Amino acid sequence: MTRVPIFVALMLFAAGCAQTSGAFVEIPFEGQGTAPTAFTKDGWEVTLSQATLGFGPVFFCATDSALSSRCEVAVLEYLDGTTLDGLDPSQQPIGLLFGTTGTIRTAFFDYGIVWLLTKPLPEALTGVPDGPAVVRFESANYIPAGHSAQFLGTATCVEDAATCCPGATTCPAAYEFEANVDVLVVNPGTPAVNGARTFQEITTDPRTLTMTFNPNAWWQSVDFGRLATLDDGTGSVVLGPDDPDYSALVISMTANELPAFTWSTPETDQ
Amino acid sequence: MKGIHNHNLAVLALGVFLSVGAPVRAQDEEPPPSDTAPEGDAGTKTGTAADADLHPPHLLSAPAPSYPAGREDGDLHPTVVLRITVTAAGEVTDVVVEHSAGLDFDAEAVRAVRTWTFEPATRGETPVPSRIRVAVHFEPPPADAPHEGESHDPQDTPHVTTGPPPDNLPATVAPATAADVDFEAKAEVDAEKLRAQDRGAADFTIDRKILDAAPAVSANDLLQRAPGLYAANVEGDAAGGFLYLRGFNAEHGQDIELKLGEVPLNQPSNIHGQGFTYLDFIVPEVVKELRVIEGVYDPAQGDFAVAGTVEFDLGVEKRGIYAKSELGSFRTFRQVAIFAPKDKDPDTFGAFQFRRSDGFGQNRDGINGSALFQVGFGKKDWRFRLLGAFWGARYNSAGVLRADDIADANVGFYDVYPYPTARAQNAFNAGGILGIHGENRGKNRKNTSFDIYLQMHDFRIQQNFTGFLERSQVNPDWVGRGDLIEQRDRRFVIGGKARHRTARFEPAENAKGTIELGVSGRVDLINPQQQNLIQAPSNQTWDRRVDADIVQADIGIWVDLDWDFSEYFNFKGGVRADVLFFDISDNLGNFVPDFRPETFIPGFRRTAAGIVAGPRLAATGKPTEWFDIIASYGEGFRSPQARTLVDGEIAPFTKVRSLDFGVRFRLFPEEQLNITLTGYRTWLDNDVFFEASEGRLENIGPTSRTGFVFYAVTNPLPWLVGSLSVTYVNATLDGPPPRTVENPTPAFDEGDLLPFIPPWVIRMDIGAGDDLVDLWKYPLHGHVGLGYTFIGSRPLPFSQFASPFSLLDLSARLSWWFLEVGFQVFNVIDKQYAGNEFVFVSDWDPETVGSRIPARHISAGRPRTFFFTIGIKL
Repeated sequence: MTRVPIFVALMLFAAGCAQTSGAFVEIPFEGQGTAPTAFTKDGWEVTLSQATLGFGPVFFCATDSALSSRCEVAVLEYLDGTTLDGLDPSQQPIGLLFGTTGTIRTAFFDYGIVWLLTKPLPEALTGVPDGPAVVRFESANYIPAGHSAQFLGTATCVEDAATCCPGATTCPAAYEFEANVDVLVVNPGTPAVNGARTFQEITTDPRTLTMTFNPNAWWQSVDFGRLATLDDGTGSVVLGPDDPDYSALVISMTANELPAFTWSTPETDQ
Repeated sequence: MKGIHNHNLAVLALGVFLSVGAPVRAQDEEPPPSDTAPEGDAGTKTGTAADADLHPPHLLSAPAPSYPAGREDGDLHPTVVLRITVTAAGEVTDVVVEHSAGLDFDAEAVRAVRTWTFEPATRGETPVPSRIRVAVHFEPPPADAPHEGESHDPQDTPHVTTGPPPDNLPATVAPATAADVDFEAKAEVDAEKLRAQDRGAADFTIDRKILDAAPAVSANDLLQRAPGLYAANVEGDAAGGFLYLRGFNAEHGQDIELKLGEVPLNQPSNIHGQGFTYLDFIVPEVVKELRVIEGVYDPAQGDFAVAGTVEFDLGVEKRGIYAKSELGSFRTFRQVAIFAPKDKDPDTFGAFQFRRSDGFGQNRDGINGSALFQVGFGKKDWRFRLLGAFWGARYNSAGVLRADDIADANVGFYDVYPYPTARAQNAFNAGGILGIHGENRGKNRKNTSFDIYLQMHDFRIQQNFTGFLERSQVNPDWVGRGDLIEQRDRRFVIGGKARHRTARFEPAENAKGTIELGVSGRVDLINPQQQNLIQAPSNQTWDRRVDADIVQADIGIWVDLDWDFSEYFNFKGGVRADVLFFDISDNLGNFVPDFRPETFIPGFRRTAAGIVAGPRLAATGKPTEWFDIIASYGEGFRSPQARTLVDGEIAPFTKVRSLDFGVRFRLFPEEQLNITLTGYRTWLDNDVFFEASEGRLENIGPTSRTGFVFYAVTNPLPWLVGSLSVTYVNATLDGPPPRTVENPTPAFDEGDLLPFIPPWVIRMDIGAGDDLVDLWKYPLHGHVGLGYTFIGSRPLPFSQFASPFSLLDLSARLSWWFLEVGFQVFNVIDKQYAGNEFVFVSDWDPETVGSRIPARHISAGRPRTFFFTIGIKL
């Protein structure tokens, strides 16, 4: 066989085998809560009874940067909204992450409320608590509907009143608290959580992502002694958007106590 | 078939010239002598003392060739250049066509020259075989020439010149006796064209017959005839096409040097794309031939000659006045008018073109018009050519569509997105070119030429490839208004070139050649260059991205050696160097974001310069007269985008190294079958790709291409012509793309294919035309044509492949007397195909969360399009 036909055959063979790098992948995506665990803070024993979370969308990116503008092209994404039970430690299927092979270093996501570039106001996605809906946060009558989280719990004073309610003349022995949280963003087109750290090489090998939320940790930033002073005798306290502990809750959800990302393969799942 | 005219009446003048393009060589048993026949001086002894006894052959009789049957009314004045062997007996053998004038003229010239007789070359007193080059010029018969069967008086043969023999014939040579015809010797060798050959096997000249074989209504349609070249229309008919050649995604011209005659058309540092070129002002009917030089092996090739060079040579062989109207699908109307004075050469003409169309599908309507003229003049040794071109075009554009939106029936394949910022896409192009070419052809291949040109271009495009992703940098509150990017590039260009090639000299036996020195210069004044985000329909500007004024200069110099070591081996070697200078006034440079205090005035003025040089080499082996082996190596460059340079930077050029090895066959001289087969490999140190979100090119890293080209042209019958090209390329990424903040570890595997490059490009053109029957003493001439294109499966990012597709174009026309009617059909099978594909992030749904995963986008290719044509020839 002469060299020319061999060369031609090799080229034809190469054309059939070679391709561009990377591939599209779909990865099962699950959420997971944390079982309610009573914790004690400043004399108060706190137990959450409800933590209904709204979540989505999420983008997993190759950049190390926490600037969302550095993630105009994502490696993986989930675009829809979903509701999770933040207190249920079992696997809660969310859907499929869609994207490409590559290296993930950061995640950018929202808690069910997005502000699109093309919209004048943020909107709660379909699938989140009480969604879809327009969030008219600039209105004087704005009351958060809890598209991002709906919390219920109880706080019980287990120390003396001076410890539970320092400086207060009265101190309830216990109260129920409620918070409906809308995690909003300041500017359109930016996510609520920027640059959450997670590292994973995404290949075509099967794997699953589990995001684990810990609402108990979020509430550990709250001043229950101050909240107790808001009890008007009804035994219940509702956090409003102007309350500093509402802001502390949002900060915990978006910065201080971010969910954990667990990438598992079928072998590690066993 | 119409009868053949009497030979004596058919030819007005026969030019015979003993060429200096090829040396007179004695052959066979005798050792090859030095060339002793300087141009125009066939009868004198020249050369060194060693060649003192060598005398060239002299023409004794030269029966005239006939003007080819069926061509008498065509008003053509072609010249065929032949290389022949004159035996020791003075007979002609081994005739090879070196410069074709069309296959029927070639055949007739070959037939005629075989009947010539010579006094053979001699060494001392001994006759020896020799090789010489002759030119055969054809003049059409006068309109009142008698037809076959009619009586004529030999005395009434006005074409026969009488008078003394020309000075370049020795007095000892008897004049021609066959017909008692004295003849006039003229210099007809197209030295410039001959010089450029043998640079590489993949050097193709596509003449009018092939260009005219299949349907064509634009210059991009003509480009499809070039082996391995694929042209896709993505942004409408005012924005230029996307070009692919030899594994290069040349975008709008970044990797292909495009020329109109000697005038370079690429626009360096164009904001829409480096080397942006607009070709649709060229009237395809006045393109005489397309010269495609694949690879970069000629020192005369300059900036952007990375994949190669394509030259549009203009000329009109059929003299007279010609007007054609085309009416076709999608309310398309095209009017062409050409005037070519009958008493002038083919390079003198004027042409006008106007076209309007609603376009196939939504948002593709527009109009364009252009006027071209070229005037050839000059006497004796100096020949000049004045070129003028003026044009205007404005077309709307449908842009690109997401493949998933088409699959989900959210938008039709030929539609445009329903948003104002999508429907506002359009392009505008206007400009003019003036150029003058002068050439002095001296003796013994001596040649001096110059070119001076002025150009003015105004280009504005508004396009939205990405939907609703952009936000303003000027005011962060301005978001979501649609990604309608407006780019503007207006420039004035002045440039020129001069070259001088020495006469052939022979410092030693078996060593003879020429040296050429050339210089070129070009200055581009780009004012302004702008990029903004605008909001339809009133085009309010809501972000400013680029506002610059640029002055860019390119000074080039080259030296080129053309050397024959024997009749079997030729070497061409040269070096080219270019020095580029950049002056950039970036009015938005050092931009102060809204959230930062202003501590300085925006603006960033800077200058940069750089130099690039590289060899251009070619070695040609000629073991037989019908077979060449050519090996070539060359290094070329592409200049950088001016705005990417920092102050004082040594301008980084994209360097290309190219290697070709191929063979050429010239088979069956009577039937004219020419075959070329060449393999090549090309390396590029820093490639670029189209970044849709910015509408411009970004760096991708080093790349290489390996492939082959097969090209065959045949004229088996006088009325039948065809060509076939098969090109294959394996284009790969040779290193990881540059790291960025967005992606510190871009994906890369050894051998990754370059996306979007079609691995297989196949093109076939077939034309058949002949006189069918005489109607009322005028022939009814019919012509049918076929063009077939196959584009192989293009690799896409993320291990995907685009679907391959085939396109079939047909044409047919009848000509009778002064009338011509016909039709052209493009994409006969109405194949729905993606003319071009991209993969990038876009968001075309303003109501939902947009995906950030790169997705396939397509620009629809032309569906079946029908044109009815009617024309008048005077």
